[in-house]
Amino acid sequence: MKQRILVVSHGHPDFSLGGAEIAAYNLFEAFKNNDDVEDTWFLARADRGRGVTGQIHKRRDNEYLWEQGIADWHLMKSAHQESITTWFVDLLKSLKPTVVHIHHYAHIGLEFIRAIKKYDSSIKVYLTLHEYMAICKHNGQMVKTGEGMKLCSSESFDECRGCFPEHTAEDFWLRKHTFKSTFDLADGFISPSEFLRQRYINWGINENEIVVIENGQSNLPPLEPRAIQEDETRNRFGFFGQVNPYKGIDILLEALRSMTKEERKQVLVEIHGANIEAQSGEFQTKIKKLAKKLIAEGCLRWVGPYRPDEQRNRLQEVDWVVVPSIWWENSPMVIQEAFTAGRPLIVSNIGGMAEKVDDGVNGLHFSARNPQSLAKVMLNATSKTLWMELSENIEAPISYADCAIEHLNFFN
Amino acid sequence: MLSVFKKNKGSITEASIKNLIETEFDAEFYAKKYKFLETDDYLNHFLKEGWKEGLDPCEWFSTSKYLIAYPDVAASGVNPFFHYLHYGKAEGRNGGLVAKSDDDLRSLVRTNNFADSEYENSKYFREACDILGTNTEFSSNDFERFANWTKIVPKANGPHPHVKAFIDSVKATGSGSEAVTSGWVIRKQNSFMWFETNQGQILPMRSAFFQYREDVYNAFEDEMTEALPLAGFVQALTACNPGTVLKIYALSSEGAHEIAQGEVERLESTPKKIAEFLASINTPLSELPKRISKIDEPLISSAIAQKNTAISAMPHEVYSFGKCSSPEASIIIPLYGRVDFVEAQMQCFSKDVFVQNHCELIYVIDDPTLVEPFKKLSSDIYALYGIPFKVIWGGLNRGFSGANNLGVEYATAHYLLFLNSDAFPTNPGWVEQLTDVLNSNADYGVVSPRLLFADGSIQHAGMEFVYRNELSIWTNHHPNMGIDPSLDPHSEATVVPAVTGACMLMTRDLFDSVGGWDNGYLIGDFEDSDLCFKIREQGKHCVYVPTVELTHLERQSFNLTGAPDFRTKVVIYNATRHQNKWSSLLQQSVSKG
Repeated sequence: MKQRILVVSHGHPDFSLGGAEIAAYNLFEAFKNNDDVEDTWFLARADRGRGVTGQIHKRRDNEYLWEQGIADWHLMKSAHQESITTWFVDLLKSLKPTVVHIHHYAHIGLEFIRAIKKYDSSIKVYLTLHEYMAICKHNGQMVKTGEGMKLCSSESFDECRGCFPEHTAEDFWLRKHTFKSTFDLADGFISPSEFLRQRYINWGINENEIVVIENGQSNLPPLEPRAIQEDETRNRFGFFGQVNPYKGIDILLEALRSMTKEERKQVLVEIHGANIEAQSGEFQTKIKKLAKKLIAEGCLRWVGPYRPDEQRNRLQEVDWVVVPSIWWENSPMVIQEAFTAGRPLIVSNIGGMAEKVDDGVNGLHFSARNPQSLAKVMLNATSKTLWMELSENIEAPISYADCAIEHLNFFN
Repeated sequence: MLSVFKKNKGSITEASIKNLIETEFDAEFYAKKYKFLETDDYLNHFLKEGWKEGLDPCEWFSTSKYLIAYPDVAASGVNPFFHYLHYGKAEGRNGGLVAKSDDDLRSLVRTNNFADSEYENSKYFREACDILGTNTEFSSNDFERFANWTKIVPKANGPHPHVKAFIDSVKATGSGSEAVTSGWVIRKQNSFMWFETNQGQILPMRSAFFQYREDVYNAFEDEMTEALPLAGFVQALTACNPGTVLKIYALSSEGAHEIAQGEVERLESTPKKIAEFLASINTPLSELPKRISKIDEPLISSAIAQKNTAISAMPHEVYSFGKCSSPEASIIIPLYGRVDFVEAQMQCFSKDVFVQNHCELIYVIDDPTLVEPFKKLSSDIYALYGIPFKVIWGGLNRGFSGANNLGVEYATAHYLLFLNSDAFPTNPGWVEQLTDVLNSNADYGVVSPRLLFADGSIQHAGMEFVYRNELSIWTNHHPNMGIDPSLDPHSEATVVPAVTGACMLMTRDLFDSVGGWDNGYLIGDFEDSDLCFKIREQGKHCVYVPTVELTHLERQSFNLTGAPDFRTKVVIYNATRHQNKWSSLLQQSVSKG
C-alpha cells in the first residue's frame, strides 16, 4: 500500500533554520520524490505575529502553517485547545494521511497526537526525537540548570526538582506521566543516534519500538581538499552553527588562548556562527572579549552566519570542522554535512558526537569542556598525513532518498 | 503622725495632692486595666481607695512596688504617687518605676485577701454542699435546684475575701444562643461559684472544664499552696446572645459576691470560625480531647448540623458530556484545590476499555474557585478524550464527605468507587479487579487498592489505628508507608482495620445501608475510617487489595507534629469525635468474622 504521509514540524525552514526543521523538511521533499509515497504534506507550527489563533493556513502546495503555541511548558500543553479537535482534525479529514510523522512537538503541544488517534486510530503515528525533551524539562538538553551547566545522565523526580526547585517531585511525576501517556499512543519512534535511543529506552520507550535512522544528506560528491602549499599544514579549523552556550564556542576560543603565542601562529580558526545577538549579554560579552584579542593576533576569523547554499563554499576553505558542544547533542547536522564535504571532525568525546565521529578513524575526540585538551588535539591535527588518513576513511552519509526509504521500511 | 509632711506643714492640702496627681494620672490606662471598677471618676477613685488597694495611677508607676521599696512612705499613710511626685522624684526614689506589661494578671483583680472564718459554718455553704456535694469533681446534675437556690442567696457587697476570677472572653455564635466563655479563677477546695447571665441562666462553675494555666499559676504563686491548681476554665453556655452580660459569683459567709463579669461578643456561626475561636483558647494538647468532648464538640456539631441543613437545600448545577449507557460502577471524584490532575487521570482512563464503557464518571466540584476554570477544561478534555462524564457543582464547599455524598446522589451504578483526582491507576482493568475481589467473599464490604507515592514506594497498604499518648487520641496510621512494594507482607486481598478514602469501592446498597459519609467532621479527616467503621459495624470487612496499584500524588499526608497550631487542633478535634463514636472498634485490630 502506498503511504500518504503528513510530516509535522515545530518550525518551517522558510522562517527558522534549526537542524530539526531542516531535517523534517528534507525528508518531506524526499517522500515527495519516492514512488512508494502516494502523497505527502508538511505542517509546521508558525508564529505569524498575530498570536495563537489556532488557524491552519496553506503556505504553498502541500505545505501548511499552524498558529499554535504552548500554554504550559511543564506539561507541554497546547495554547489553542479548540483547534486541535477542530481545524487540525479537519486537515486530517481532508488529507487522509495513513502516516503522521512528527518531528517535534515543542511549540505545538502534545495533545494533537491524541487527537490523531482519536479521529482515526488506524493512522500510524511516528515521532522522530531530536533531543531529550520528554526526559528533561531543561530544554531537553540533559544539562543541569545553574552555574556550570553540569551534564546530567538520568532523570528522577527528585533530581529534576533540584534543577527546578519551584516544582515538586509530584509535578515531575505528572510531567512524565503526561509525556509517556502520549508517547504510548505512537506506533514507533525514530532516533538519529543510538545514544539518544538508549536514553529514551532507559526512560521507558520499548526498545522494539525505537530505531536509529540518521538524517539524510544531499548526495553531492566530497569536496577537494583545501589547496595548500608544500610548506603549509592542515591548520584551518571551522566552527559551523549556532553560537549559544551549549555549542561550546567558548571552549574553542579558550583552547586558542591556552596555546602559546608560537602555537597560535600555527592555526587559524573560522567561526561560521549565527545568532550570537540572541544570546544573553553576559555570554555575548564573554565571547566578544575572548574573540577580540585572538582576531587581532590573526589566529581567529569571525566569518559570521551563512545560508545553507553557502555552506559548501565555506567548508571548501577549512580542513577540519570542530564541534565542541558542552551538551550531549543527538546527531548534529554539521557532522553529516562535514562528512558529505569530506572534512574530518574534532568533537567533544560525549553523546551523539562521540558516536558519530570515530576517534582516529574519521575524526578526533577531545575531552569535552576541556580547552587544553582541545588545543592539544588541534595542534596535533595540523599534520598533513593524519588529515589525509582520516579524510580518506570518511564514508558518505545516507542520502535524502535512502533516508526516506529507511523511514518507509519502518512505517511498513 | 505625718512625719514626712512636717517640713512643709500647712502647704499640703487635699486639693494640692489632687492637682499634682492629676498632672500624671492616666484615666484611660486606669479604666482599661481595672475593669472591675464601677465608677467613671477614676481620679477620685485612685485618690480615695485605689492607691490603698495597690492600684497603679499610670503605666509607669507601681504603687505596690513603691510602698514595698520605701517603708517610711508606707508607714506615713500618704498617697505614694503624690509622695513620688512631690518628694521622691527629687530624692531619687526610683523604686516604683516600672514598665508594666498589659498581661499582668494581678492587675485585673483585687489582690488583697482577708479571712472568712465563718464561711464553712454559714447557712449558705451548708445549703450549697447539700445540693452539689463537696467534691470539686463535678458529680451532680442538679443544676436546676442549684440555680433556684442561688436566687435566695443575698448579694453581698464588697469584694469576696479571697476568690478572684477573670473572664478572658465570652462569645456567642451569631445564630442560636450557644456561647462559650473562658477565663481563670483562684479558688479553694470549698469554694462555690456560679455563672449567671442577665438572661437568667445559672450554672455552677464546677461544671466547667478546668485546666492548668501557667500564666495564672505564676502570677498567683503565693496563693497556690491553698488554691486549686487548675485555674483556667472553659464553659459552654446557653441562653447567651451578643450583649448579654455574664457574671461570676462566689459564695462567702455573707452571701454571693460578684467576682467577674463580661459582655457577650458575637462570633460568626460557621463551623470553621467557631473552631478557630475555640482553637485560640489555649489548653494543654493532652487535655484538649477532654475539653473537646465537653465543650467544643457540642458547639461545633450544632454549627455543622446547621450548615448541613442549609447545604441540603442548595441547588446543584449539573452538566454532562456524553452518556455511559450501562454503568456497572460509578466513579465519584471530588475536585478541590486544583483541576490539572483531571486530564492526567483521563490519560489513564483512555487506556481502559472498562472505564470507558462501564463506568460512570462523576466529578463533584467542591471548590468555588474551580467552577469557572472547569467549564473550559472539561469541554476541552471531552473533545480530546471522548470519554463521557458528569459534573456536579453543589454551590459551595461541602468537604470531602459532603462532596462524595453529593456525587452519590447522581450515581446510578451498582458499585460506588470513590476516587481522589490525584490517584492514577497503573494499569487498565483495575476496576474489574476490585469488583472481583469484592465479590469473592460475601463478608467483604469495602475494597481498596495499594497506593504508591510518585517515587514508587508504598503510600497506602491498609490503615491501622495508633494511640498517641501525648495527645490522648487514636490517629490513623499507614503501615509500611515508604517501603518498596515488593517488601509488602501482603500479596493478596487482606482484611485490614480500615482502608483509605482516596480510592475505595463498595456496593451502593451497602453505602446506603450505613448512611453514607459522615459529614460531621471538621475540614476533612477521619472520614474514611469512620465509613469503614460503619461498614464493620454491619459485620462486613475492609479489604486491602495489593494486586491493584494506583499512584497517589498526595503532596504530604498531614503529619501530627504536636505543635499547637490550628491544623493540629482540628486533627485532635476530629480524632476525639472519631474515638467517641468508635471507641470499641478502635481497640479491635480487625473485624471479627
